[in-house]
Amino acid sequence: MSATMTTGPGTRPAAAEDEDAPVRRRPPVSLVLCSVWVVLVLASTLLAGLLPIAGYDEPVADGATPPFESWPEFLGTDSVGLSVLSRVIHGAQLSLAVALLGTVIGMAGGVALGTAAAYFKGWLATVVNLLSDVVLAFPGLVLLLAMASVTRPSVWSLSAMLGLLSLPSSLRIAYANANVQLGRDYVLAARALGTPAWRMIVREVLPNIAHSLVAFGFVMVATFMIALGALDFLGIGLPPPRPSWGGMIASGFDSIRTRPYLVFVPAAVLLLTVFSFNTIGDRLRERADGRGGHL
Amino acid sequence: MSGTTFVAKKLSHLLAVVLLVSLGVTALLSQGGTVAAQILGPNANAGQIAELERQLGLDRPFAERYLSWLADAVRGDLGESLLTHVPVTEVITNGFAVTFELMVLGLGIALLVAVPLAAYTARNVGGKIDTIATGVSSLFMSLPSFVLAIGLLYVFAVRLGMLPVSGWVPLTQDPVGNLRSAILPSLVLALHPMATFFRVLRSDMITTLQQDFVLTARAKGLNTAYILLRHALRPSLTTLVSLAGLSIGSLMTGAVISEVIFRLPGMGSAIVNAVTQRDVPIVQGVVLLVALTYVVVNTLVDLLQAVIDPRVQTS
Amino acid sequence: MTHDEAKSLLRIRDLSVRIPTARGTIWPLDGVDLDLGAGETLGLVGESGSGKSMLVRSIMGVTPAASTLSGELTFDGVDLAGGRTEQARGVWGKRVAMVFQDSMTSLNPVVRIGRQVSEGARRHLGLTAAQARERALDLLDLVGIPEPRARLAQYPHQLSGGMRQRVAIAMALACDPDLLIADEATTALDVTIQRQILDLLQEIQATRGMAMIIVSHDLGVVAGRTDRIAVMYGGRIAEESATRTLFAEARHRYTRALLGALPTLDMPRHSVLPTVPGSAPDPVGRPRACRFAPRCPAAVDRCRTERPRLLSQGDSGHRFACFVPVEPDAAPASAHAAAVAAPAAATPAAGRPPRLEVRDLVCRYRVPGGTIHAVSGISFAMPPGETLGMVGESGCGKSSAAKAIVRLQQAASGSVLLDGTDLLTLSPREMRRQRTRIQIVLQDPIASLNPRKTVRGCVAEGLLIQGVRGAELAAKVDDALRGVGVDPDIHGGKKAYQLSGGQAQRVAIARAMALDPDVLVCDEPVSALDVSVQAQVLNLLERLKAERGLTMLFVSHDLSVVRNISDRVAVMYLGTIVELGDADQVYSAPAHPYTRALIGAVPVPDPTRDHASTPRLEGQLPSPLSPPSGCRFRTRCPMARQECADKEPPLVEVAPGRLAACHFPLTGSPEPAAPSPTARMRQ
Repeated sequence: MSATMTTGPGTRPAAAEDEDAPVRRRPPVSLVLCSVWVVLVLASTLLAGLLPIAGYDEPVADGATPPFESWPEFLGTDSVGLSVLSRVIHGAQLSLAVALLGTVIGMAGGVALGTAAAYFKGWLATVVNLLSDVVLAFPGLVLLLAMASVTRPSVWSLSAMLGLLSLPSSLRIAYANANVQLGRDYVLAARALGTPAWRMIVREVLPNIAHSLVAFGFVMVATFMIALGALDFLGIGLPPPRPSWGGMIASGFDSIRTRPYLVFVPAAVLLLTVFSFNTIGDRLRERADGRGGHL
Repeated sequence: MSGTTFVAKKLSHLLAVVLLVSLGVTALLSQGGTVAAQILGPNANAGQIAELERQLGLDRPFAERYLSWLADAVRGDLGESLLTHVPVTEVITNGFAVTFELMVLGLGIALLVAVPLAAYTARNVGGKIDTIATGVSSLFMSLPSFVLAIGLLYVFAVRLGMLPVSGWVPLTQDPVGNLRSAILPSLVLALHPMATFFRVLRSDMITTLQQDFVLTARAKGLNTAYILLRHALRPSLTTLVSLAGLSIGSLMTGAVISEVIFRLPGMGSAIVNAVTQRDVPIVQGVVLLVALTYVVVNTLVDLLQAVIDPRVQTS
Repeated sequence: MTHDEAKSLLRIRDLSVRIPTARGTIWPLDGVDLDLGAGETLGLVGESGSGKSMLVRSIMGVTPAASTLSGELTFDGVDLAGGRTEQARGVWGKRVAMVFQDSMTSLNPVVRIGRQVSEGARRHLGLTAAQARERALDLLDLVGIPEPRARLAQYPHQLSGGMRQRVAIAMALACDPDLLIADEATTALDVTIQRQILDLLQEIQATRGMAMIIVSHDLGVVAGRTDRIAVMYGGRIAEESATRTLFAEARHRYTRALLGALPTLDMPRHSVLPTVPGSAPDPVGRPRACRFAPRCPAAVDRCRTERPRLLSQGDSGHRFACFVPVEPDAAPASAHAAAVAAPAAATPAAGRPPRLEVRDLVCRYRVPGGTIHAVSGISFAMPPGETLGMVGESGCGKSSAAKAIVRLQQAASGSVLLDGTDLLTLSPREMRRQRTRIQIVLQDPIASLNPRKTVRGCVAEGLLIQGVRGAELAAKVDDALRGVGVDPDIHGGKKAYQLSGGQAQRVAIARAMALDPDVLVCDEPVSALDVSVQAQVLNLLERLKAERGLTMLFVSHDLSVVRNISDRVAVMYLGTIVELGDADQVYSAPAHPYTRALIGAVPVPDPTRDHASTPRLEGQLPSPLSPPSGCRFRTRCPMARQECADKEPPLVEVAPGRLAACHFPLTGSPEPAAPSPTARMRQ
C-alpha cells in the first residue's frame, strides 16, 4: 500500500560523487504487516479451541456491552451477551476453509485447462473459451443464490461452486501466461529435443508461470472471502450455529444506530484479512515487474 | 477469414453462451423443492404439492419444460410469475430502469475517476499522489460491497442525515431526488471497478511509456501532456476496455447487494426474492437478460478494440 | 579531416550518465569528449553496452528518468545537459532530430502517419493544420514514398519496414534540423533495403548540408559514408579519427580487434577469425583502469590501474585512449584475419549418398487475410560433412525451412530424408529417437534457454528424454560443456540470464551436441551476438564440425558470415532457392540477378570502396501472401522480360555444380561493376 515498491524513476539527487552502492531493496513494510496479519488470523483460527476465550455460543454477559470494558471480551458483547471476540475468531474457521479449498479447486482446474488449451490449441481452446464465457456471462451471485436455494450449502459444495465460478479467471491467467511462455524460444528448443507434451507443460512451462499463479492464488483467496461474506450477509451462506463474519455484520445491521461496533468490528476484521491477501498477491506479482517509463 | 465468417462464428459463439447459461439455470432450479411448497406453506402434504405441481406443469420432464420455455422466449414471451402471475417481462422492465441506471452511473463514476488518475500516476510513478492512489485502490479492491454499502449508509444517512437511507425516486418524477437516491448505491457499485480500472490502466500506461514511440515523441520535443494524451493513452486502453466489458458480471453482483441494502426496486431485489421463493420463470428471465447484456456488451467491446487500435482486425 | 573547435556545432566534454540500480550505480557514459562541426558526418561505432545509444540519447534529452547527467553538452552554445530548459526545448526535435532503430516500435501504431510526421513542425514552427499537412506531403515525397497523399491517413503497420523507416526519416526532417542522428536506423532492415535507406540519408545530408551522426554496430555501414568515426567501448570513446585513417591504421587495441573479428567477403573461406576473449564489460561502477584491459592481449599493469586519456596524435585529429597502442605501420587491421587458416576441415565427400536430402519442401501458414507461402518447394542434398549456407532476406523462408527440417514447424508437403529416412512421416516416438541425429541451434541464445533451469539442467534435458540417467548423464553433460569451452564447475549452476550472450550460445550448442548428432541445423546462430563474440562462436562451430564430422545447415542473413563458414551456398528469395553452388563461385560470379544485387548491397568495412558503383536493388519485397507469377524476383529485377512473368524458371544447372533459377542467368564473368579493391581480391 503506502510503501509501494515500484522502482519508480524518481530522479535521485546526486549525493556523493562516486556512490556506487546498490539501491537497497527491502521487503516493503506493507508486505511484512500483511503477512503477520494473515499468520495471526490463520493461527488464531486453527488454535481457537486453545485460546482463553469463551465458546462462540456461550454468553458471557447479560446483554450488549460496548468494546474495551472487560477482558478478554475487549471487543464487547452482542445483544444476547455473546463475546464478539470469540465469535470473530470462530467465525473465520469455515470461511477460511472454504476460501482456501475453493482456491485450490479453482487454481487446479484453471491451470490444468488453461495450460492444456494453450499447448494443444485447436478445438480444446475453443471449448475452454466457450465454457469460460458461459461462466462469465452468468451472474455469479445469482448462481450462488440459486444453489443456496436448492440445497443447504456445505463447505464442499460452496468450495466447488466458488472454484467453478473462478475458473474463467484462473484459466485465463494460466492460458495467457502459458501462451507467452510457449511462444518463447526455449520451448522451441525443448521441442527440438523431442520433449513430450506433459513434460513440456510440467517441466518447461509451469516453473516459469508459477509465480504469477501463486500471486493470483492469494488474490483469489481474497475474492472468495468477499463472496462468502456477501453470502453470509444475505443469509444464504453456511448455515448456523457457527458464526460467520458476514452473518455477524448482517445481525449487527439491524441495530446499527445504537450499537455500530457490532457491524464495524467484524467488518474491519474482514477488510483487513481481504486486504492482506490482496496485498501479498500484488507484491508477489510486482516483484517481477517494477519499472518506470520514458516520460 | 472474411468478415461474414467472422460475424457468423462470433454469433454462433454468443448464441451458444446464452443457450448454455439459460439451460444451466433451469437445470439448477429444477433440483430440490418447487414453488408449490412455497405457495402452499409448511403445512401442505405431499399430495397437495404434487397436485399443484401438476396444475403448474412442473411435473413434465425437464427437457420438455426447458424447450417450451425456450420456444416462448424466442417469441418474446418469458412467461409469468408463479406466485403473483405478473408477466416476467413486466417484472424485468420495472426493475431494469433502476438497475440499469445504477450500473451506468457506477461504470461512469469508475471510469471518470480511474482514467485521469491512472494517466497521471503512470507518468509520476513513486510520487506522492501515486503512492496514495495505489494504496487507496488496494483498499477499495479489498472492500466488500456490502461492507461499503453499510458504511456509506451509516455515515451519510444515519450520522449526517444528508441522503435518504433507502427508497427510490424515479428519474422521470424528480431528477434531483433521483440522483439523491441513486448516488450512494451507485458509489457502492463504482468503487471496486474503479480500483481495478485504475490499476490496470496505470500498469498498461507504464508499459506504453516504455515503448520506443514515446521516446520518439519526446525526441520530437513534444510536451508531456500532449504525449500522454495523444500518444500514450490510446494504445493503453485495450485491457481496460475488455475489463469494462467483463465487469458487467461484477456490476450486477454489486447491484444485487446495493438494492438489497438500500431497498431499491431493481432487478437485483427481484431475483433475490424469486430465488428464495423458487419462482423459476423470473429467475430464468433475469438470468437470460443478464447473459444477453453480457454478450452484447462484449461484442461491442470487440468492435471498440478495432477502433482503438487499427492493427486489431475483426478476425 | 581535422575538426576546428571554433565552428563546432556540438561540443561534449567529460559527459557522464549514471543510473542507480539494484546492483549498484551503472555508468552507461563515463567521461566522453566529442566535437562535431556543422555539415559533418560522424560514425559512432560500438558493440552492445558501449554507450553509443546513451550518448545520442543524452544529446536528444531522452535519457531514462532515473539517470543523472554530468559534464558539458552544448549544441550551438545551448546547454543540453541542464534539463528541460526553454532553450534546450527549442533545440530538441527542432534543430537536432533523431531516427530510431526499429520503425515498428518507434512509430506510434495508433496514430496516423500524417500526424506523426507533422506534429513536430506544428509544435516548433507553429504551423496550422493545413500547413502541417502540406509539409507532411512534401516530406513524404522527399523521402521517396509513393502516393504520399494516400499515406497521410494510414497507420504504420500498413507500410513495409523500409517505407516505415522512410516515414521516420521524414518525421525527423520536419523542422529542417541542423543535426540528424540515425541510431542504428538500418539495423532492423534487410541489406537491400538498408542500402536504399543509407543512400537516402546520404543524399539528404548532402543536399541540406546538415550534420549527421550515424550510430551503428556495423563497421560496414559507416565505412563509406562518414567523415570521421568514433569507436566506443564501455561508456568511453576508445578511438576517434578520420574514417580512412581508422580503417587503415587504427591504434587502439580494441579497434584492431573489432576490425579483425569481422568476417569479410574477401577473406579465404573457413578462416579462423581472430577473436576477442571474454565479453562486454560489466556496466556497474567506473573502474580506474582501461575498460578493455581484461580482454586485451597487450595489457600491462598500468592499463589496470590508470585510466587512459583520449589523446591526440599530433594535429591529425586522430585520438585514442590506449597506453599500449598498435604501431602505426603495423599491417592494416582488416588483413589480420585472412592470415590464419582453418584446421583441415573434413572435405565433403561428393558422390556418397547424401546425409540430408530435402525434396520439394513446402511450408505455409494461415494468417488473418490469407496464407503465407513461406517455403514453396525447395530441394537440395547435403553429402556427409558438408556445410550448406542458406542466405536470404527476411521473409524469404530460410528460417521456416530450417525449422520444418527438424520438425519444429509443420511442413505442408515434401520430404526430409536423413540417411534415407523421411523425418516428416515419422511418429512422434520415432522422431524422438531421430532427434539424437539431427539437432538445431536457434538465434537468440538467452531466450532459447529455460530461465528456470541451470546450465547443467539445460544440457541434460535432451539426454534425460533419451533415457540417460545417473553418473553417465552427469559425465555426458560436463563433457558437452567442456567441448564448447564452458567450464561446468564455474558456470554449470548458473541460470541463463547470468550468462553473456556468447556463453549462452555455447551452452545452447552444448545442449545440441550432447546428443552427438550427425546433422546440426543452425538458424541465425550468431546474429544476436556482438562482432567480437560472433567470431568466437563461428570458430567453435568450425572446430566442432571438423572434430565430429558434422553436416551443417547454416542459415543466416549475413552474407559475409555464410561465405566464411560454408562449402556451398543456397540463396533464397520469397520461398524459393534462386541459386545454389560452391560458395566462392556464387559470391565471385553470381548467376542470378538477385544474388548479384544481394552481394552488392552488403555493407563492406572498407572506406575506399565506392558505394555508387554497384547497382542498387530498388523496390520492396513483394508480399508472401500473394507472390508474383512466374519468376518471383521479376518485380525487382532490372532484366525482367515478359517471359519472366509467364513462366516460373526451374532451378537448373547453369555450370557444373551451379544451379540457378533464372531464364536469363548471368554469364560466368564477374559483375560489370568498376573493380574495387575488394572485387579484385575476390578474383
